[in-house]
Amino acid sequence: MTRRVIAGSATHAGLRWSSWALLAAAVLGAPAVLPPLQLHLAWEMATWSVAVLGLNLAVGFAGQISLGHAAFVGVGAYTVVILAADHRWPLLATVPAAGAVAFVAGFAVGVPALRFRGLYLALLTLAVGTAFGPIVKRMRWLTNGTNGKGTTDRFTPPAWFGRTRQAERLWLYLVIVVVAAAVFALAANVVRGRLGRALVAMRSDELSAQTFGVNVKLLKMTMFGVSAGVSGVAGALLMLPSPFATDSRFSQAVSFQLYTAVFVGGIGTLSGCVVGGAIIAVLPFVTTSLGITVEPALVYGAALVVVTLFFPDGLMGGWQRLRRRLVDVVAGPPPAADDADLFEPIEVVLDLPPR
Amino acid sequence: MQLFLQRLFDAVSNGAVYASLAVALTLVYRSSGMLNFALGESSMFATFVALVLVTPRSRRLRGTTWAHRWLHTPWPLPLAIVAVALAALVFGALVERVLMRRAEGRSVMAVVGATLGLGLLINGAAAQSFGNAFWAFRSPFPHGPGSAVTVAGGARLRYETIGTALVLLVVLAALRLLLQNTRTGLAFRAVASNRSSASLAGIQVGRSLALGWGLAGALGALAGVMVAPNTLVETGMMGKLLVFAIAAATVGGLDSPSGAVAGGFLLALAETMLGGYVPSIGGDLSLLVAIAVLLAVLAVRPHGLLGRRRVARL
Repeated sequence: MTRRVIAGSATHAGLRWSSWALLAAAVLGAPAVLPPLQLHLAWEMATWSVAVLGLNLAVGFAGQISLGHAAFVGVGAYTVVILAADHRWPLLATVPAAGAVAFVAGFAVGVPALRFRGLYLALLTLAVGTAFGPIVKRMRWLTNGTNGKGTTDRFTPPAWFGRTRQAERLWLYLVIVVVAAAVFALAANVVRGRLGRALVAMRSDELSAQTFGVNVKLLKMTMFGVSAGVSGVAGALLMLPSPFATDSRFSQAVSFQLYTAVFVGGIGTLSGCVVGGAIIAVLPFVTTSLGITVEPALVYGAALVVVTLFFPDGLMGGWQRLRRRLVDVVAGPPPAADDADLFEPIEVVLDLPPR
Repeated sequence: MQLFLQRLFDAVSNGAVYASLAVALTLVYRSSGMLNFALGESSMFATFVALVLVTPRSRRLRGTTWAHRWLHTPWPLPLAIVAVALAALVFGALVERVLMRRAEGRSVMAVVGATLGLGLLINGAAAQSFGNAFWAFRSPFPHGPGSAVTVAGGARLRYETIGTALVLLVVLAALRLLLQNTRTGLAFRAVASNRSSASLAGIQVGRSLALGWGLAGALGALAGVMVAPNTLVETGMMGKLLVFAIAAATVGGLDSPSGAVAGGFLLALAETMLGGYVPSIGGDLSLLVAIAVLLAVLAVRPHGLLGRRRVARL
């Protein structure tokens, strides 16, 4: 049943490339398959995947709990709207700015996070997330308070792309998917590179990581900042289709949805973020089209309890186990050494005197 | 002076509620090492049940018809409160035995995920069954314009405040008796101090853990009923309160009930005084006060005011 594939072999490469091709086909084919009015589901999926990725970078990869990540999504969204409405920035240019502002906000929250770990950090982020709404309402000069803030700018494609409603939607989808893919590629590099190895060391034992030269304090703040920055980009992407931000869109309920999505998708996996994002984007559509009125909290709560207690590695963890049953990638034999002659037996003739 | 006293009384009233929730949190934390993020929502649900039990049959509030037929409601308020506290005790113990014991000893993320998920679930269930409306809740103590003691300078000390504080005192005294002077309490403390030794000494660890969760549930229900006349009953009534309660428990050291009481009153005092005298803070940014107090206390004493110092051995 199980098929063994040697890592790095032609079969392995073929499998990998074909799965990437499949993913690319799905992404590019979505506008063709989905009815035009439902294309927003696809871009919402991409947007929420980025938000889940942001939280997963903190929770899954850095081992820091955050229960208030919707606040960082909100910071990103408000950055977009404020820059576009008050400072006449073009919408696309605000996306990196949103990431940067959210990075700074996350870095600032990460400073007290140094002293805190585990439960204390959970409490601190919960308080920050709950305080986001009141703070936004208070800073009326900047955020327009409870009324929400919007801009009349529309995100329009360049002239060569076309000016129809359909072209506009397609352009929106492509831009969001490209930005999301770029963020994911960046995150993959962070996680697999030097920083990622330092994170693995820190997660297993902070003290020994420190003795190996990992600057744990800086690493923690940086990761919290990166995590918040990625969530801020998600907030910016959320604003592109309809640039209007209100504090209620970034309430604690959203933070809890993100936390649930991280666990259901698979904590500490990049692909799990896409699954989690897809759940957040599609769930309301599914329930309304099935005609069920169900409280989202009920669904998310049940999912979070079941996953954390019974399936700790989430959907992607389950999928990886299933895949290992079908196709087992094993390490091949060590490559033949070039300097094999070094190890050839040397004949030594000993001229021993007879006894 | 009058204003100051008035704010002090408000702080006592809030502090009693924070303190009872915080004590409930420490009961769970001491026995099982878990922070119960579901406590707020379970208290909210208990308050809704109490509301159903005291409301005459009505089309507007779901469950009242059923309760009227089978339980002969409306009940008098004290009876409903006691019944709800007992039900919350049983529910808390059941939750520990059926669900939460699976999360024990796992990573902090799993623990937070499990209790947070349970809280979401309860919140969703309440919204699904009772809707998102706001309901008035009668205070169990004499209330209204005349029911207050006027003390020196004209500040009014409401009977409600006195009653809430008294309930807290009585409950804490009962809790202390239970923990210090009974075999059950002895077993509970043994489990809290060293679980494997307690288990080796023949103590039923599971029973003690369930007791901790059950008592926490009952205390939470009491806190919900006491705060409901001021906040109104609705599905989001406990959100901010729980943050304050966790902050209070943390300030007190997470594993010390008396620390939790001190933390609760400290936070309530900071909230009302800073919110009252610094106009730019007001009532809506009080969460920032909680964060500030928390950071300040933990910067000076990382293990909280009365918490046990943790010594790591390498």
